[in-house]
Amino acid sequence: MNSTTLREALHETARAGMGQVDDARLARMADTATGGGSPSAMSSGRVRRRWAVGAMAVAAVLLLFVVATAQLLRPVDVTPASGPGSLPDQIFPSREHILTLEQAPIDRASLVYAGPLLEGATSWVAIGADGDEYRALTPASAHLEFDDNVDIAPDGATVVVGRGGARSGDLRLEFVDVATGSTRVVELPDDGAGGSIDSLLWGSNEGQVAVLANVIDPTDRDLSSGRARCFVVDTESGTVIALPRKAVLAGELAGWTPDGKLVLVDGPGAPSGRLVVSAADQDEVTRLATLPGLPLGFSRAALSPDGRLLAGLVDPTPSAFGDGSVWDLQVYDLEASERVLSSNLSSYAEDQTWIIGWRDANTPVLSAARPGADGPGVLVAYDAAAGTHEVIVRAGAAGVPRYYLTSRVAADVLASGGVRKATPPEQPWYDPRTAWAALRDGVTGEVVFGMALVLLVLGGVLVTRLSRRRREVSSRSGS
Amino acid sequence: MTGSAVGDFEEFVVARGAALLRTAYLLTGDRHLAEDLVQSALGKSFRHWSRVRGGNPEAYVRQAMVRENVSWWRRRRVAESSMADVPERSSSNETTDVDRRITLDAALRQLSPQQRAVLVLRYYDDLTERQAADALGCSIGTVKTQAHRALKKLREVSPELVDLWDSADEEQEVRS
Repeated sequence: MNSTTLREALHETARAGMGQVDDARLARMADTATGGGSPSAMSSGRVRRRWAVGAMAVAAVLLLFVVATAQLLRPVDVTPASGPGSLPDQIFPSREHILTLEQAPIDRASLVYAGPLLEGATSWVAIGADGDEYRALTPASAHLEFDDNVDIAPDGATVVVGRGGARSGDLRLEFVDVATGSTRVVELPDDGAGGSIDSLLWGSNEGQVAVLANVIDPTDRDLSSGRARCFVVDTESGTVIALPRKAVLAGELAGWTPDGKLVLVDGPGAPSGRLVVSAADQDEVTRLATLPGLPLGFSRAALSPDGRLLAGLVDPTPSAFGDGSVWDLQVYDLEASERVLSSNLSSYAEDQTWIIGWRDANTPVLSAARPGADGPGVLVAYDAAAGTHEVIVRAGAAGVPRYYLTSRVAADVLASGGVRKATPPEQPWYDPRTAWAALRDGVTGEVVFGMALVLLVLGGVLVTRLSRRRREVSSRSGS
Repeated sequence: MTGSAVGDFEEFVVARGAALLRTAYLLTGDRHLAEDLVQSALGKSFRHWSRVRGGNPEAYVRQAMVRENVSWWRRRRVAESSMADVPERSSSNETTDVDRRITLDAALRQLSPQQRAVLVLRYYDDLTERQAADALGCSIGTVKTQAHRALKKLREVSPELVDLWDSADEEQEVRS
């Protein structure tokens, strides 16, 4: 024993431990290793390979699911509700990112959007004629909120921004020249403690802007109360005209009559259940019409260019449940004091942002900045003579939720030509919602969908080949 | 894989399988685990057989065995053998040798898989420190350290086998 080395002892131990190993046993091991053995003896490598194939298949299925879901959630074009199509479907196509007008040059902004520029600043942006050009209407340092009041001049050359604050002089309008970026400020009268602007409405020409403001009462300690005021500002001279207080009782700016009077309507939920439409100028306030009861309110009022029709939105849901996100277009004939159109669309726009404009005397234009899948912005063509209406196509900026369409559409700009695609000024690619929209709407969706299909097919082929090989080895082993 | 390659592989297993099984037994301390270990290593080697056959296939399989064994241990798949797995005695008149084997077997089980692997590669398969390091996928220094610790522990748990440990030390000195 003393002469035994560790090597010899190990050999003895190994020999005794394993006992006799016959060739048949080794042949079986070789057979198993080459693929003919039982699954329990399957090598971990093979198990990993199967796992890889399975994981690939699961990934492909998941990818298919995601893309299919995105495709299913893709907004569906609105089917014309009635009447023949009188406008080309190319107008306001569903997948447009931003609406622009072919014939509008860069210095005549077609529409105005609020969107994040570089470094997260917010600005108002004018979209140019060819769809690739844009211009920030406000300096990047001038941070604007999405709900700031902005309106574009009918000729698209100037944008007016309403500013407010809690100090005297804060209540003001800023006229921004779209072409040069220069800004002119017109201060509005207050009571010494500033105020805020509730609504702006450019005149039918470039000469005047109506302002509905809330002027802070300085005698109120917490400055929480204010007095409603209505002004008309001469854009050339900067002269501010205060309208009679009676006009302020009506809560919303609706438009201008052909003879230059400002038209206002009472706000949503008028206690009388009636819609009172008034026309005001510097000297007097005249009641134009008292329209049938609207217990659920009326908003986004817009007067037709000829002053004959009044369009607006109502929330068709019971007031206890309504949150303003569901809307229905209604049109009233002021002369007859009756409702001539209820679109019965009952559509949904989650951010409650809409625009109503008039394409012509008979065509109210609706745009929803972020339309829901079942409630896109639409162009409603109303035929006053026939008493019919037609839902033409959707409008708005589906799939680009970071861009808000908050300005009224200038009538002559809208009527000036067709609409074509535009590139968003700053695509917020980092936003998952935008990525989702790209997956859903863009070429990316098709590519990813195709890749998923290819992966699935490859996985299937691989599994088939492995199975066939295993069968071959098994049959060879059996024979 | 061609038919000749498969035949070549089977020939290799029949020729060297027994030796591999014995190495595996020393690595695992259990006959059944040894078979599983060899089987697994052969399975891996077969997939690369076209490349492996041209070199040193036995070294390749041994390396796969060593690493697989450590991997098993890390995944806690290796259960310590019960006394029922103690090797059978070959004959009643070889009591001394049998006792030594049993003692050595038990002592080896006190080592970690790495220490046991170093010991087997160095003193059973007669590999150099560099070859053992390659097989284990570690440095030569690690091999030296593990071997030293393994022998130290074996001395502690089985002082009656002092002649074996001394012979290992002598061999170590000669090699170095």
